[in-house]
Amino acid sequence: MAKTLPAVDVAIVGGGWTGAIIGKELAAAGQRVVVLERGEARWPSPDFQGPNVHDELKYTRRHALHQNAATETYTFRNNTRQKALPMRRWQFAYPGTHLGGAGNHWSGAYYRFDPTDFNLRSHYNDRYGAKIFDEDLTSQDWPITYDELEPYFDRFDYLVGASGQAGNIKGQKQEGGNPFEPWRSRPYPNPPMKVPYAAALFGEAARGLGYHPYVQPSALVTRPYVNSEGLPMSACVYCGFCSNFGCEHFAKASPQVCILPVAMKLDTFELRTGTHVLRAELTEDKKRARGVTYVDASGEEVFQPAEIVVFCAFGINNVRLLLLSGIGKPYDPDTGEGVVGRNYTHQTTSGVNLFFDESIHINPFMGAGAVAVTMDDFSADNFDHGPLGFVGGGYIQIQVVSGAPIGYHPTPKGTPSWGSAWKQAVKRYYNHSASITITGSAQPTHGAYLSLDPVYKDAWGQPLLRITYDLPDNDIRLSAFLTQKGDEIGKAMKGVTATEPGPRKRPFTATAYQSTHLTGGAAMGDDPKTSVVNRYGQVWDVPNVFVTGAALFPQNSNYNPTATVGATAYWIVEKIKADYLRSPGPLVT
Amino acid sequence: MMAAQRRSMGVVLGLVIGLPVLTLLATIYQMVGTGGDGLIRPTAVTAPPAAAPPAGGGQAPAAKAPAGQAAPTASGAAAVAPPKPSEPVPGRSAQDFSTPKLAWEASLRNADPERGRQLAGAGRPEAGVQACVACHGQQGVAAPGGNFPNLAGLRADYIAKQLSDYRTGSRNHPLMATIAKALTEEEIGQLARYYGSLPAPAVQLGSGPEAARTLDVRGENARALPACANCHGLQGSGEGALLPRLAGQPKSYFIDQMNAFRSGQRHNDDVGVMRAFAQRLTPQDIEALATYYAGTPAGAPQATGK
Repeated sequence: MAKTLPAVDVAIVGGGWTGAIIGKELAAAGQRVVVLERGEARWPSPDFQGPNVHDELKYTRRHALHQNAATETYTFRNNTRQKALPMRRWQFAYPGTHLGGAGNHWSGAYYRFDPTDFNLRSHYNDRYGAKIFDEDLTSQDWPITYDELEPYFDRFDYLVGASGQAGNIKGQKQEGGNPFEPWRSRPYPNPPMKVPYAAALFGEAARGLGYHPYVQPSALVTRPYVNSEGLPMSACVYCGFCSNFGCEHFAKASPQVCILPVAMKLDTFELRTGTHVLRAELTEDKKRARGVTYVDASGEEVFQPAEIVVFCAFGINNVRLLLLSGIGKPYDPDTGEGVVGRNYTHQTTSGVNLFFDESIHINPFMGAGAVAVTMDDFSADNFDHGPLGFVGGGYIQIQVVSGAPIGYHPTPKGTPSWGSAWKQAVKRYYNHSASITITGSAQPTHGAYLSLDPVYKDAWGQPLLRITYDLPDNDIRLSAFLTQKGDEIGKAMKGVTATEPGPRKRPFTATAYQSTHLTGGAAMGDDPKTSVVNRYGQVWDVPNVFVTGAALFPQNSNYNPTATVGATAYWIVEKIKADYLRSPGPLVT
Repeated sequence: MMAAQRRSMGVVLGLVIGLPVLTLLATIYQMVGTGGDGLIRPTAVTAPPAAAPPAGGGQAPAAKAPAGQAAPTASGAAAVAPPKPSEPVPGRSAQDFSTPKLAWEASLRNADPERGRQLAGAGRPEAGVQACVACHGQQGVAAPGGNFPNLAGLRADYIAKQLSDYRTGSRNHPLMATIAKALTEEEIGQLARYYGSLPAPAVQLGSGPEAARTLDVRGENARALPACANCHGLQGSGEGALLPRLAGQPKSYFIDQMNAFRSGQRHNDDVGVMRAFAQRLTPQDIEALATYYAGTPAGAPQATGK
């Protein structure tokens, strides 16, 4: 029998970006807020200080900041004819856990979604005709526009201390910025990052081919900065231990650095770590959540009553929480009915490995999660899709993240995978290779969805989340096109002796890392038949439950999700503050 | 003609005699520890100005971190109003992929440390270049009790950069500015190579105030202070080409430099990181860190306890 605690106003599941934003905002508005974080508290000091944090074995290979796959993992299959099997270790994505979540171990690549991402279906229909969409695609418009979201992007920019050079302020093109950039109301709060050598070579080659390369915006701060919450951050030192690591320099934006210290000073805000939420509990008519049940760090089951429940867990874990709580109708791929789990997508990534002659010293160890020269000539709808016959786009870049010794030893194809020939090749190429990274959009299909696994359970006896996913033909064509473009740039780069393009192929494999951008499953929309939540993240069927994060995306943009995750969190909480608290009930009828 | 020669002779003589005398006086002044706004700054921890520090080194200026914050006082009362968020600053073009040229880089190429040794010992008085050894000691280890830094144990790149920064004024010290401006590029390289080759003085750290040991290895989360060791190496041993060794530096020199960072007078740190950290440290922190990094000469009995 669960122990019942005194009621709070708001129970928030997850202590990452959206939980921190929504928790802090509602607590500051006088709501009694409890944030339930399943992991442990982790702070830049003492937990991420050097030299101990520079431990590749612990953080990258053993996933210290990722969901513990031994207690809770996903099962995976490509289609409904297969039997899904559980993943014992993370390879295709790194779902976050512990305080700060994925907002702690992320890379800091920081893009806003393109305006056409928000009206994707109607934009492509208008420009190219409906036939541009393959029949299997369930891509759909967001219920909100870029223009509506812009003030919230802006707010998140100044929270994280985004670095970059604006290309478009209120419609005015800016010298030195990205010419494809959507309009923004203010400049980036911090200047662009420094440029590693491989990225500079990429930029020069891309410019020579007539493209428009620029330094990637990032949430790695480039100077001492005081953010919009009055919290100090320091400058990135390009230490090369960034993605998968916590940042010892208070330079990588995270909930711990940017927002939680302020939230935790509020009397109305409580952070409770070690609380694994099992489900939201509904009233008998299933129209209202009574609170959430969790298992605490001592193993005791606890019921936390609350007036509002906000699911702020890692993207698709919110979908699992909805399914476990019996909220919304699960999607059925056979009938196409139901919405929870529908429109799951990943990110269509690919790459071109480059090998240089020995006069080019790349120094890959001098890097950061988001230090890159990138280009948007093939992002979104910045190019003519008509003759190409697919929807979506991708950015092409060189990003120098890490030369960490366990994970980084590039060798050309045909090199033996062990022995003295392998060692010689590693020695030859360690400092003379780089990779062009291509990050493409991903379209949802009828057959790709999230559901509860009928066989496998987690350590608490609850069904695992089952992923059924394969790459649609549309995205295979997209990847082939973009990878070809990347290869052309690679061949034009100074000192390159060989290129190895690797376009994404079917079937999708869960054993190769492709990004942690797992999106959809609780799509935001105007129509309850094709969406789980309304334009304010409010569940159609249970209006005192809100969902945040990348689960809201009806399909995935080619841009990294975090800026849009942050902006939508502010968008949602402002609506809760402005309207819902005054008169709780459906915000859209 | 004769008068002009005599005059210039007088200038040279004045420099030859005057500057060492000045140095001596300054040293005495320093050692007796008087205060005031003299040629050499006093070593008491001073408060940073209420306003933002000046823009640094042609780069982005430091954030206006404690702009609205009450200046720390000698008693270290930490009355902290919420800091004002930083305003955006104009930055580099996002289409600029070039690597900035380092002003001192060329000077180090093929520089002869032996020439540096000779220059350090004899100076070039006719040009106003004092013998380095007068203040920085034989073998680059300064006399104890002063506020002159040890140069032994610092890296050549760091020394070359500092001399270059004294020329531009991003690091500010009347005597050193005069000397650095009189040095040729070549001499800067030679001196940097010479001092960069000398072994650091043997020193023991590890005891010292607990507050400092904590800041060294852990930093402090509440003030967003990373561990000093992240950049300066474990126990201030120095790291990489430009992150100086702190271990063994005289206490008063350390305090002086932290004061200069706090006030923004010294602004040759990369994008202002040290200025921002120094402003978030209390006077007590700085005293403690100075004591800790000064350490005790190796072999001397270690203080026990905290």
